[in-house]
Amino acid sequence: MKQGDEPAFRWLVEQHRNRVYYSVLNMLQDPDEAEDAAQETFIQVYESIHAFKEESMLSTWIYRIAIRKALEKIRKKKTRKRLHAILPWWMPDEKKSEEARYLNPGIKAEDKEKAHALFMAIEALPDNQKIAFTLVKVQGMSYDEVCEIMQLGVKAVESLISRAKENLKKKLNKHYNS
Amino acid sequence: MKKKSIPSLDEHMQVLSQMQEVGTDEFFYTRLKGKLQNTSSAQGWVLPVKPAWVLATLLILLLVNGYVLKQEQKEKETAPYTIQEFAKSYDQTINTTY
Repeated sequence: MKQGDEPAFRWLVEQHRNRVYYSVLNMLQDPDEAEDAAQETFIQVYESIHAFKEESMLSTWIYRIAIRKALEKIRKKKTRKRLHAILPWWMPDEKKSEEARYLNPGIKAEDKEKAHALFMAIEALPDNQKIAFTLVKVQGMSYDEVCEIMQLGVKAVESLISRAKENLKKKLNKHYNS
Repeated sequence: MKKKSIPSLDEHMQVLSQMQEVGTDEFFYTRLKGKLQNTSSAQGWVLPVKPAWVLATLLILLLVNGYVLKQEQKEKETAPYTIQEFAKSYDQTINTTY
């Protein structure tokens, strides 16, 4: 692939596209943004494959790029929201109604409200807590994989998840009391 | 009235076990290839600085421009009268014949 072999790149995309897409979708909760982030991930893989030092597994390197792309999208979204607050005539509002928000197809109708509340609370977590919680608890990745992706030790990831849970409790209470 | 109880975090997290793994469709690679070609052909036209910097620079230029214009106007207002302006303001410009 480092020699620019297209079939090799295609094979790589086919191998990882679904998992990359599902990872970024869990972070972004928006299928269009997730498709964009997944495409941008593979474009960066294609453009910087020569920089891959083979110190970690190729899949870990790809997920690291994907997570970075998802975070970039989240930051851009936050900037657009701030701009909308300052210049509402220039920046259209992106706020979606409860019904219009994305929800994983597996979630039962009676649990929709809980799922919306949970994902809104996850969205408001600090970046590192959001990544650790999403990858372990939402995506179901192993601690080893997440440690590799986040380049952190097991204890650090555990601590991030425990802080994320504390913050989620507070945010959910606030959500139901408002 | 009975207050509605708030579900615990564990109850919320049970929802996560219902989630199904979602993937992209089979045309993902075709769309990616198209985007990759567009990216490589557009690379020569990439803006060398971030749009935020361009906007900030423009805003600063506009502010400086506004300040300079205001200063010029102030100077004009406080500038001493010329003889012609003095004569004009006291209506001394009409030629009268005796």
